[in-house]
Amino acid sequence: MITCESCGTSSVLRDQAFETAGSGGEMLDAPSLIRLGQSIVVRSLDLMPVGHARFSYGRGWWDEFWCIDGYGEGHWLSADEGDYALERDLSRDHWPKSFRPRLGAETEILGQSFTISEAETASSIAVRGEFPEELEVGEAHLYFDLSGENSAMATYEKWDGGEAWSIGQWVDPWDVTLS
Amino acid sequence: MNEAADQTHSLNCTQCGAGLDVLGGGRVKTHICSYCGAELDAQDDYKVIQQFRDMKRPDTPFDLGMTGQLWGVEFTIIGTMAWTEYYEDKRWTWVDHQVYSPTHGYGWLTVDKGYVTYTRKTREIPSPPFISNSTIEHNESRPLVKFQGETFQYFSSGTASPTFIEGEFNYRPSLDDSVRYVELMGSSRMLDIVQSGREREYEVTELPDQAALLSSFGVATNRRPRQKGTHPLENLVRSSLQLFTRNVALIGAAVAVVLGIGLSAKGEQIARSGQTAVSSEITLPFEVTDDTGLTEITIEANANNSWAWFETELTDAEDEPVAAFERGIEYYSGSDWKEGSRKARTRLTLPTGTYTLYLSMTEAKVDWTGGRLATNMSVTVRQGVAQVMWVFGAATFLGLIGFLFLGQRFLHHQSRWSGSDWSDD
Repeated sequence: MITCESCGTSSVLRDQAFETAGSGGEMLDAPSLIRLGQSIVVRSLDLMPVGHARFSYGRGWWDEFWCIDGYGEGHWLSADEGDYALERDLSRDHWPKSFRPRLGAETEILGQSFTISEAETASSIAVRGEFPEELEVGEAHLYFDLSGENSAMATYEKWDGGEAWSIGQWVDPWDVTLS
Repeated sequence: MNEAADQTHSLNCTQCGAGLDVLGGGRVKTHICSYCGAELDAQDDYKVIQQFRDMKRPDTPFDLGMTGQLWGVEFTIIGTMAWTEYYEDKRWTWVDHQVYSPTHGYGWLTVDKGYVTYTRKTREIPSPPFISNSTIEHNESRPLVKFQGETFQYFSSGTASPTFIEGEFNYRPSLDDSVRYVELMGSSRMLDIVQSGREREYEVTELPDQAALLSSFGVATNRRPRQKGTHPLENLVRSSLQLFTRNVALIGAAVAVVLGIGLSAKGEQIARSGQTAVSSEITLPFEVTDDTGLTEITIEANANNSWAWFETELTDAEDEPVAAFERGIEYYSGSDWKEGSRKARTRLTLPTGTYTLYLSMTEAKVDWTGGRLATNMSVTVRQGVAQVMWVFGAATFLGLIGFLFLGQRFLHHQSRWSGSDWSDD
């Protein structure tokens, strides 16, 4: 998926052809350590943010950036008022088998123990740039953040017609720098 | 990010109607009214959760809404909490200010003993993750934890409660809270293990440049806190001139000692008498061929727990007196001690030529238990001996300067740890 930064129109690549997917919404300017097209270093990993999605939880919002590293691999970097997390998609083979989505519930992913520490419903309010998946503005997503030992974290995301898991680490904001 | 804040920036207290500024972000959970003390639920239409009364406003240089920079990042003061800790008949107080940055999140500016520190939560867990009261009481040495590759040493612990709460917080504080903390010190930051109820959190504290911080937050000169003692995180910073002076002094002292030892070995023996009974006189002719150094005359006698006094006369080739001097030898010893020396040295400047030395013992006395008078004496003459006193004098002087710097560092270290409640006893 790609959203034009000038007109805000989103297009989805299907069968080697772009189809218009709608509007990318209004991305209000806000203080941020991360800007599209400006490479950053996160814990000594060089990343280029190429996609920016904003999700609203009513009282506020958080940002998700789709970033590409030097090997062409993609990472999700979320920024929520100083809470940063760097995650990669978890392949379906590794999804936890018995997961009960409620606060405090425990589960195991790749042999590591996680506890659900936060749950939130949010809807995407704006998207810009390129993404590995289709993001529809206004679509509601149910998020569960899971915390493990030593900054490990995972996210379970559910929306109409889909669900996904990602796994990664919390990142100290002071460890996010422009390269 | 706070959508509501960007649009409204203020609200009316749902308890008393007072106008309140909204300074924090969307993750703010509670807002305590500065006027009536009502705790409002920021996540639920600012409904009143509880009412705080009779809170004494603490003395602090910061007000809600002040903004300033910490290491180049702008933060806003959004909340104030005063804390008190009691232990036996002692009482400690300090003030925490919740600060907020849209990019770096929530943290604390703490005003304690006139110093302002910055504290933030960390999700990394030290090893071990907790230090119990029992460990603190029974350990023979300061408990240690490893965190981010650094060792932190136990500094203090205690239980504190808030006495004043005002403004916005990203959690729900209460005057009924009781927080147990264990504070550990690393090289330039402190690690706090904070336990409140069943929740345990880890916080890292740093000491920013005080003048720059206060100036950045616009704290008026007359409101700046007066610092008491040395802060545990206050590093002894030396100017490049001080560092240069210290290094020159220490290196110079070491060089002077080596030089002095080297020069002491310089010299050549030119005459030596045999062992002679002290009842006789030694006559020792010698020739000085090298006048670039001093001529050293060493008298030796086998006094034991006694002293002996010697007269020496030196004449030239024409038998004219060149020098005359007296020297004493005293030597005392026990099973595990000794004092004095069986040798006495004299250094002279003599031109090249032939000389004769006359040595005789004039007086001697035993003045210690088991003492014995000297029975034999001898004399040795060396030429080309270096005068090393000034070299060792310089070494002492330079060493003293260097050790003053080291002493200052030691005192500073002691001062940094003076606030610790650890006792080796």
